[in-house]
Amino acid sequence: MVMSKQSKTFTIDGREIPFIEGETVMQAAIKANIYIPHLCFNPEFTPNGSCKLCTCDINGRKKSSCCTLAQQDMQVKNETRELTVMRRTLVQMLFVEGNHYCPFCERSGNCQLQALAYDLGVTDLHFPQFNAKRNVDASHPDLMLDLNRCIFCELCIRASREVDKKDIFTIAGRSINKRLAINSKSGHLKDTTMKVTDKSAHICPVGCIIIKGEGFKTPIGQRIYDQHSIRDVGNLRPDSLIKAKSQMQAAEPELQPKKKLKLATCSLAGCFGCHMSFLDMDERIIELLERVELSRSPLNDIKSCAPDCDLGLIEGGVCNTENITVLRQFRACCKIIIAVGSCAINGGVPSLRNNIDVKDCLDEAYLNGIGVVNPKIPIDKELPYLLEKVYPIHEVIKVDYFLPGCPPPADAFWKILNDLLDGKEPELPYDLLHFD
Amino acid sequence: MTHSLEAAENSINLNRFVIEPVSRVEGHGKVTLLVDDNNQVQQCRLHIAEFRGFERFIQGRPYWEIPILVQRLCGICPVSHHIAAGKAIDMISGVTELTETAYKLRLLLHYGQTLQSHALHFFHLCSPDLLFGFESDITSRNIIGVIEKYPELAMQGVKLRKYGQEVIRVICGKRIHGTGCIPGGMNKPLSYEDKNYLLADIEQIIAWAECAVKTARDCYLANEPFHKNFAGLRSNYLSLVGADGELDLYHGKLRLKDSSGNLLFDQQDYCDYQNLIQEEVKSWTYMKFPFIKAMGKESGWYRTGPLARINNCDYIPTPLAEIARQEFVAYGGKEPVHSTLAYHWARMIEVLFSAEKIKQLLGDPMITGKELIVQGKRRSEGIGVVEAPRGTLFHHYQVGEDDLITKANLIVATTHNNTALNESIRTVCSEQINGREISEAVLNNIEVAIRAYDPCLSCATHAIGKMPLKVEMRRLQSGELISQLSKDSDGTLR
Repeated sequence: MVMSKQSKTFTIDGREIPFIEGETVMQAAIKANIYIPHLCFNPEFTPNGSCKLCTCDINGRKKSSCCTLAQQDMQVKNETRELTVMRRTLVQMLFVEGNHYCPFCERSGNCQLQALAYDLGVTDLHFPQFNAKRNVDASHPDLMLDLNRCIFCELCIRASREVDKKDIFTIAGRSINKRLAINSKSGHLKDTTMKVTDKSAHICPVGCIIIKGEGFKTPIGQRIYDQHSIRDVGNLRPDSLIKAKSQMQAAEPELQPKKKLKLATCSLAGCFGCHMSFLDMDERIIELLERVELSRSPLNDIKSCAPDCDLGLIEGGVCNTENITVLRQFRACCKIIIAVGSCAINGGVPSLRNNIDVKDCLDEAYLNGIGVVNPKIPIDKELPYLLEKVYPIHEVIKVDYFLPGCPPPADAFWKILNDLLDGKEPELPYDLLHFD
Repeated sequence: MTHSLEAAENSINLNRFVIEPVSRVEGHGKVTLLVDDNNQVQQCRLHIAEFRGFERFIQGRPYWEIPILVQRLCGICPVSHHIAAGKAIDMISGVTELTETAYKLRLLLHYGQTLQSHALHFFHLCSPDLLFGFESDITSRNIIGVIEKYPELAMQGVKLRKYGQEVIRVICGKRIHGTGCIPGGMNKPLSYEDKNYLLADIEQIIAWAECAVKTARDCYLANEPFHKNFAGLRSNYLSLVGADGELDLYHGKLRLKDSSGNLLFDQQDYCDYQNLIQEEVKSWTYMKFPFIKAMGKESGWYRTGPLARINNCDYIPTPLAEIARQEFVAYGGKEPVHSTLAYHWARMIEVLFSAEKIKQLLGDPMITGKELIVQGKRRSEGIGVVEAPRGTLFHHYQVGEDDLITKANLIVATTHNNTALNESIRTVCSEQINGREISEAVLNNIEVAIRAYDPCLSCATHAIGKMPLKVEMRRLQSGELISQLSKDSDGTLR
């Protein structure tokens, strides 16, 4: 009997994987129900190798598993701490490169980038935001392109070329000006032959290609990744739920369990929703207050932070000089600073103004507003100077932990605070890690 | 009137005092006082000094995204913005009438949030002033102090708020910043399990709401002569009322009463708001000052919120709240109740009204219906107005052919009360502070006046503002200056 093709094998994390000659590592892994993180790979199309999230350690070298052919006795490492850290970094880079606002994105909960971030335990974005200027093309009657959310996976390009045979999309520009471009004279989607039924309209892994009229129709709680982690959806490895862990290498908390901790809270450029979510601990607040003493907080009348605070919770981003002063005071007074919510972590909704001209903003509100009399721009010594951009707080001070969400759920506050009170490293389980 | 305290004649040689941040209110604000050597206040201002910016940056976003986006104006009353924007995008999508179920779900959502917002404000934020005294010890003048001294009352407050938040959660999927309103309706029916879950506690909630009305009323009446005039103003009152003049927080037409209770206008379509209301800009704050166009900016200012609504409506369409309203109106006699501190009493009447409405709605078989969306013919403009917990909230959007927002105007509830807030704290200065040594306790009187309005300074900071860091701006300044940082052209912060 001749050796059958199936008898060839290689290993992923020590497990023997059969493959057929010509299959990639990714293809063989999928058949074997092993999840390798990826965004630009889709089995229906030619592999692209652009997102690099499927990078594995293959015979000691870092290679994209979607573009590497499986070979007999090849040794692939997929689940290592090193790779997880690298993949997290890639996801963080994708987030800061575009303008990803999970709180109001209609793809939130069904977005593969977000789901992967959850799966990898990304709680902050680490890098400064690019604030790239990207367009929205809503010219098509049935479709919208929000290029702010494009991650250059090129799946739409491949779908349009390989399946729809239309070649509607391409990549143009370089560096920060790189963008998804439309192959039509006007550059608008309406002037192409694209139809809502095209394959390329149903391939985007993020919220860039949107079908009009579907936004927010799926209630929260019923979206795919509300219920499953991305690695579980394909039943690849039902037992592998990675615990979210804070990114920052925080010093071991010098806290004595059982001692009453001094807690300070404040809101910078935010909406107070995080403070409200803190109060959503309801009756548990009373339990918490047995272990915590409140210093400066909008909930009492203490206007400045005690110098020996153990914990500082900061909601909101940094939009003016006063915010910087307060933030630095908090850093000086608090042993541990936790960035709470989208605005503190990546600027959040207020940072939507980062791409808009200053004069434009001022004129809109105070000169051209509907029904405005006495039009003028407020200027007064009591008004703090506004910054050019809204910054996440980690761009101004060192942050020890990040508690994401818009706002983070009350249970997440409860979990993180109790971990710290017990002298443990805070951890968020999958169901408490949200970006929206 | 104490308009004279808006600007001191000469600010040189005056001592500056600042309350910063104003605490136990939602959002960010500060008060500055300029006081002479005889402890006479010469200038008093409430500044809104924080900026985020919505009206400009939502331009270019698709209209169906707006209810989800703009609710992030405010974490205390996101539902108000969600629903006001939802009503505006209904109009944009050509829908004038929702399905009965969608309409009732919106009502349930709105009354749930009114319940939680009012409970938060009264119990968590204001009750310490009313229970312990305006100048009581700072260390216990907060909700923790209330929990220690009045545990039962505090727990009722916590649970009233929790109930309202749970109403929101079952409809929107999250307690804060969920999703619900989509063009022409709602995205999820109410399940029978959730309905029964809410029904299980509603009688207890109504009972606690009745207690809350009594607590607020008794606190007020316990020191009536003082409370009546504290931060007192005579003003006009603006609110929505239903077609029959009844209290309605979700929908209605505009009614304006003067300080004697005479109708200045009634049953005005809110879509005409541009012909009724204008806004003045002042250089020392980012919050504008709305006024009734026909009356001019000197006398055209008004108050909104619970006090305005209870003064303005002809009746409340639920039995227990109506009894409470009649007692309130009897107290005022022939005139509207003008006492600023009576806001708390009026607010708790609305808590009772909301609780009763929730019970009515949960008992309605249509509430668990499945017909949720209507479609219509797209229009280019939409205006949505609701009575938010803090007052009348206006959302106005224009949309291009490509479905993207081209123009937005928001008048948030707190902004309507801007003149009144400033006038109230100036009254406190004249009557409570002048001649006294300024101390933390004395200054709390000013905050008590501000808190009565339940201002949402988060909402008030929505107006776009981004002041460039220019050297010239510093030259304008006279008097004391708090140390400031500057930003170099390379972005370095110093």
